[in-house]
Amino acid sequence: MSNIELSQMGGVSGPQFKPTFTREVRLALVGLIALMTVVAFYFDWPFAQIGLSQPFMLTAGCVLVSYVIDVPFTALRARLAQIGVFLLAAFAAWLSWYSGGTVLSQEGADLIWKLTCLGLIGFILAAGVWNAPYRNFSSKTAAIPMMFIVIFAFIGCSLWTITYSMSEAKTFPLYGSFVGLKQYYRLFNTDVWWTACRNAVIYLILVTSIEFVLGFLIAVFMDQKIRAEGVFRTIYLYPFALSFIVTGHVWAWILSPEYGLEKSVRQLGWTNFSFDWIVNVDRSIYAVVIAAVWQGTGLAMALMLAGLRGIDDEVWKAARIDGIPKWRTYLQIVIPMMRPVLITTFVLVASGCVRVYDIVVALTDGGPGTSSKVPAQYVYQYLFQGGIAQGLAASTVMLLTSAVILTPWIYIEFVKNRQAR
Amino acid sequence: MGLKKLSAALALSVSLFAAGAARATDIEVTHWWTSGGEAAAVAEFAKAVDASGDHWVDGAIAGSGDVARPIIISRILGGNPMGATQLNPGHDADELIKAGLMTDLTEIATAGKWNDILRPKTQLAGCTVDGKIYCVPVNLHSAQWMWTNRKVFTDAGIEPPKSIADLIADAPKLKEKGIQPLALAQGWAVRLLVNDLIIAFAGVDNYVKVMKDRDAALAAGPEFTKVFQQIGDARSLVDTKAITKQWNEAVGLVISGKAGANIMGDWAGGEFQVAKMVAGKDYDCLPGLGLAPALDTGGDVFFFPLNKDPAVHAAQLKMAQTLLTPEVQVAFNLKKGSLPMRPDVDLSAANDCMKKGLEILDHSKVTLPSDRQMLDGDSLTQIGDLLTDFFSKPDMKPADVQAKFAEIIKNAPKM
Repeated sequence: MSNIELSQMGGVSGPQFKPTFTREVRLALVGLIALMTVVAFYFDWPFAQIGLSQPFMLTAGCVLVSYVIDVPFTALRARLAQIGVFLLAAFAAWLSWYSGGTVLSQEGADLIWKLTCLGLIGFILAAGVWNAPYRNFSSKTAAIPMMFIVIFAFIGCSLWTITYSMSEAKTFPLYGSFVGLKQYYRLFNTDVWWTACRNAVIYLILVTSIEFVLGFLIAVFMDQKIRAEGVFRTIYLYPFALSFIVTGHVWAWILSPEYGLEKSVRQLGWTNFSFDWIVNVDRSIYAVVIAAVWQGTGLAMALMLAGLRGIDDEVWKAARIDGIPKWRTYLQIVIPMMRPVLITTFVLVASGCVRVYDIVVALTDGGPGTSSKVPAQYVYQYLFQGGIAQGLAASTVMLLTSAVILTPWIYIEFVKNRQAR
Repeated sequence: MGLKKLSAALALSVSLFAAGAARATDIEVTHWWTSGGEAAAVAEFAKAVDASGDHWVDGAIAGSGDVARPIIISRILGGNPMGATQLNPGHDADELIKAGLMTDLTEIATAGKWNDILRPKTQLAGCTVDGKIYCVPVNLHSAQWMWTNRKVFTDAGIEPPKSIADLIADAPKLKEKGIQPLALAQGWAVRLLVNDLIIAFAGVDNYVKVMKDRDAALAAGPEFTKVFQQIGDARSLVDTKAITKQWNEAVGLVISGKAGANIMGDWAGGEFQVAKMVAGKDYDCLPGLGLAPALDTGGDVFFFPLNKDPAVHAAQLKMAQTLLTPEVQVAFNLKKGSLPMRPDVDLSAANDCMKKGLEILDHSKVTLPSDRQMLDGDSLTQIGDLLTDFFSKPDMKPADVQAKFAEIIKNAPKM
C-alpha cells in the first residue's frame, strides 16, 4: 500500500497533527519490523517453542484489539479486512483438521497458520509505526492489557468452558466428542450436586444476612463515641486478616466434639452439653456459616462504620431538634443515606459467598460424607480427577446462575439510574 | 513507540515461557511419597540414581495422589515435563500416552527381559499400550486388608475376628463398651472399603465382571442386591460422627484402641510398625477381609515424560533400568512395606503380613486389577461421591444406592 492510501485509511490528518517520525525514520522502522518478521519466520519462532495455538490466540487478540481501539487504521474496511484474513486462515486450519488432511495437508495448514500469525502482527506493528500519531493514543495503549484480559480471560475462557462442557472430555480437553447436553443431564441427576447447591444457598442467605445485621449493629455501637474505639475496631477486624484456610483449621479444633467447645463445657460440669454440628450430617453447613461469619463480620463492620462516619453531623443535629428518637434516625434517615456503602458491602459479601471453597475444605472437607459440599468443590473435584467435561458443565451452571441473578441488578443499578439522571 | 515497547514486552514474556530446559543429567522426579516410611523408601531410589552417575532432583508433592496427580498431569500437558514421575497406570495415563507425551521404554524392556522377570503379568500389561511399554512398575500394593487390634477384642471378652462377618457379629458388644467397631476415613477410603466389601461378599469374578466388563445387569441384579444389603450392614459398624479426614487417622484409631478394625491397603502396615506393634500378636491383618483371600495388583509405577533433551532422554532410560535391579528393589520395598516386582530377591526381613501377601501372590491364582485400571477417574469419582453419601446417611436405602451404582457402571466409557 502506498503512503497516501495508508494515511487516508488511518492515522490522523489535519493541521494540528504532525507525523511523529520523518519519512526516512518511518521507512527504516517499517523495514526493521519486516526484517524481524522474516527472521522469525525463518527460525520458526515462537512456533518451535510453544506450538501453534498460543501465537494464533495472540494474533486473534491483536486483530480484535486493533478493531476496537482504531489503531493503526481508523477506516472500518481496513480493520474488517484484518479480521477477514484471520478468519480465512482459521477456516483453512479447520478444513485441514476436519478433512483429515485430504483437502489441505497438515503442513499446508501449518504454513498458512504461521504466515498469518507473523504477517498480521508484523503488519499491524508496521502500519502502527507508519501512521503514528493517533488521537488519545496513550489512553488507548493503557487500555490494551485490560482488553486482552477481557478477550482471553473473560470472554475466551467462558466460551471455552461452555464448548467443552458439551463434550465427553475426561482427562484431556480433546474436542471431537460432542455430546450435547448430556453432561448437564447427568449433573442435574446427581444428588451430590443438589446437596452442594442447597448448601450454597443456605450459606449465601445466612452469611450475607448475619454479616449485614451484625456488622451494622457493631458499627452503630462503635459510632457511639465509645472509649478505646481503636482497640475494639482492631479486635473486630482482626479475624479478617486471617485467611479462610487458617480460619477453617482454627474452627475445626474449636467445633470438634472431641477436643473443642463441647469437651470444655462438659469438663466444667455440664455433662449433657452437646455441640457436635461439625460432625453432624444435618448441621455441618451451619458450622461452616459460624466460622465464615466470625471471619467476615469485621469487614462488613469496617465498611459500614466508614459509611456512618460519612453522614454529616448536621443531619444528626436536625433530627435531634425535630425530636426524632435515635433508632428512628438510624432506620429512616441514616440507612437510606448509606445506600452506596450498603450495596458495596452486599456485593463484596455475596460474591465471597458464591466462590466459597477454601473454608469448607479446611473446616470439613465437604464432610461428614458429602453433607457440607459446595459447588466449587464439586467443580474442582471433577476438573482434576478425570472428568473435565462434567466439571466444566457444573462451572457453567454456576456462571449462568450468577449471571441470571446479577444481570437485573446491574441493569437497574447502572443502566436505568444513568438514564434517569 | 508505545506499541513497539509493548511488542518487545510481549516477545520477552513469550521467550520466558519457552525457556526452562534442565541441566544435562539432572533428572527431576515428582512423586507423592511424603510420609515417614515412604520418604525413607524413595530415598533408596535417589541413592541408586545418584550412584548410577545422574543426579536425582527430588520433586515431592505433599498431599495424596488426588492432589499430586492434577499437578503432574498439567505440567506434562503444559510442555514443562519432569524427568520421571510416579503416576497410576489407568485411563489418565493412557490418554497421556496416546497424546504422545510419554517416553517409549520397549527397547530396554525387551533387552532387560522384563516380561520374563516381573510378576504378575497384569502389572506390566498395565504399562503396555498397543504393544509398547511406557512405564516401570516398581512395587505391588494391595488394598484388600482388614486390620484389627487384638487387645480391643480380648478386653471386651471376645475372640478377635477372623473375618468381616465375625466383626459384624461382634459389633454390639464393642458398641456397648463405647468402641466403634470399624474406623473409616472419608474420600477415597470409602471407595476402597466398598470395593473390598464387594469382593468379599460377591467374589472376585463378579467384581471384575461389573467393574471391568461393565455388566450393568449383574450390578442391578438380585445377587448384588444381597451384596448391597450386606454393605448396609457394614455401614452400621461405622460411627458417622467419627469419620476421619485422613486414612492414617482412621488407622490411628485402631492402634489407640478407640476402634476395633479398619479396612485399608497394605500401606497401613507401616503405621502399625511405627507404633511398635507386632503382626499376629498385637494386631491381625486379614487379606480379602478374611472371606476371599484375593489381592488386587495395584502398585506404583514410574512414567518418563518425553523430553527433547537427548541427555535427559538417556538419563531416563538409565533410571528405568536402575529401578528394577534386585538390590534397589529389596531396599525400596522393605522400607515401603510393599511387595517387590521380581520374585528372585531375598525377603527374609519381611514381616508376617508381607509374607501372607507374597503367599497369595505367588501361589494363588486370584489376583485382580486395581479399580483405577478398570474404570476411568470420572466414574470413580462419581462412585466415591455416591458411597460417601451412603455411609454418612443412615437412612439411605441400599436398593437406591445399587440402582445408582448400576447406572454409573452402565454409562462408564469403555477403556
